[in-house]
Amino acid sequence: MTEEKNDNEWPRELGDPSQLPSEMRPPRGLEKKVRQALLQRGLIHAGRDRPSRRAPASTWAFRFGVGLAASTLLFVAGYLTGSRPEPAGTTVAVAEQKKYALLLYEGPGYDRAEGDELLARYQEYNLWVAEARGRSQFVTGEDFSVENGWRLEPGDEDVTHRRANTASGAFPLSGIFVITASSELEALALAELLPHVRHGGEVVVQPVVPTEQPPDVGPAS
Amino acid sequence: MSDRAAAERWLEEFERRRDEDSFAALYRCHTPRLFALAMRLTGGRRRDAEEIVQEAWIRAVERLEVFRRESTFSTWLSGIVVNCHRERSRFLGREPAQIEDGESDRAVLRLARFPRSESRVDPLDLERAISRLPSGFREVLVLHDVHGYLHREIAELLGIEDSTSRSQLQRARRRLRSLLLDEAPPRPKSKENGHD
Repeated sequence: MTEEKNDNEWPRELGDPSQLPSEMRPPRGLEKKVRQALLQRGLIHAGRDRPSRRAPASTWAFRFGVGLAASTLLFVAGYLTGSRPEPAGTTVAVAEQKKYALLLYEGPGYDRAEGDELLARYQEYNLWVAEARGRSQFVTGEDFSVENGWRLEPGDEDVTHRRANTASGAFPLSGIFVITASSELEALALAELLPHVRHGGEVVVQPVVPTEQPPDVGPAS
Repeated sequence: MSDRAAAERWLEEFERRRDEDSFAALYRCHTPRLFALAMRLTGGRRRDAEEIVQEAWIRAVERLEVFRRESTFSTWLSGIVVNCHRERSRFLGREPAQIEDGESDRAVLRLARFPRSESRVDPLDLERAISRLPSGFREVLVLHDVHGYLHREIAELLGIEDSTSRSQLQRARRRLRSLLLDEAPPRPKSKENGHD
């Protein structure tokens, strides 16, 4: 606390407000909103005058020449490689790909996005999907409404329906992705890149049992 | 360069250029502190805090010419945040002191990510108790005990007398103590003092 505090007034066992953080990370989209509001009101100028970084004409001519020569060389090399017959019996070793489900739960520490933040959050997930697609690992995904779920609880004679949402104390499943990976480690590595993890959510990674090979239930009686 | 010197440099740069880039630097320098203040003044209402910080920046840039450097720029900005909060509360016609819903609880959970002290009161409970103080008490306590402002600065920020700030702080601490003691778990009995 400040020098003005009389320590006798405040029992230390009740904590020290001066130890609470005096700074907090502002919402991601706020800076842009403020800048736009200032621009609209004419209170700041757009961008900044930067010195021109255009190269002089002679440099452009030189770069064009080098580029043309390089592309010609690449074209010829590519043509020769492509026209060469592949040796018979050549195989490419590809690791077997398995499916994994990534179950996204909102834990107690999850920082749920609201309002304008939501769009930014979707964008983060889109980037993750693009990354997974780029690696040829993305299969599918769904986003769930976490406040509108129901839990069915079977009793002796009846089934009870109860709300399964954050208000009921549950940490609901908020989304699911299915990916392919050659190993559990690879699946975990991709799951770790999920924005959900960065925002304090919990992710369960579970191998999918292939439907073509149903689980062995033993011999039929 | 100290934080204060850097803040001063960003301000001078912005006054000279008045462009997006120089504003971005100024914004990033001050906003984490302003946002923390707004979050506490609103009792953890994140959307309200966001609106207040946005409005505060617009006013600050509009009125930059009248900033006379009698206080630091950071203090001046904090004063604008306090005023924006007061005006917004009046406009919405509510006493912004209660934690009412899940949104606020989540906000408080976010506030609680800091090292734990030796205290037997969880910092989360301390944040929650502060958010439950009546608005007038909370303003003074947050500015003085959390953000480290002096009574004369608080008096200037809130448009009150030094003595009022002191008496409000005493009352705020008393109220905070009773909120914490009402909720705190019972103290374990010590074997040395023969209470068990």
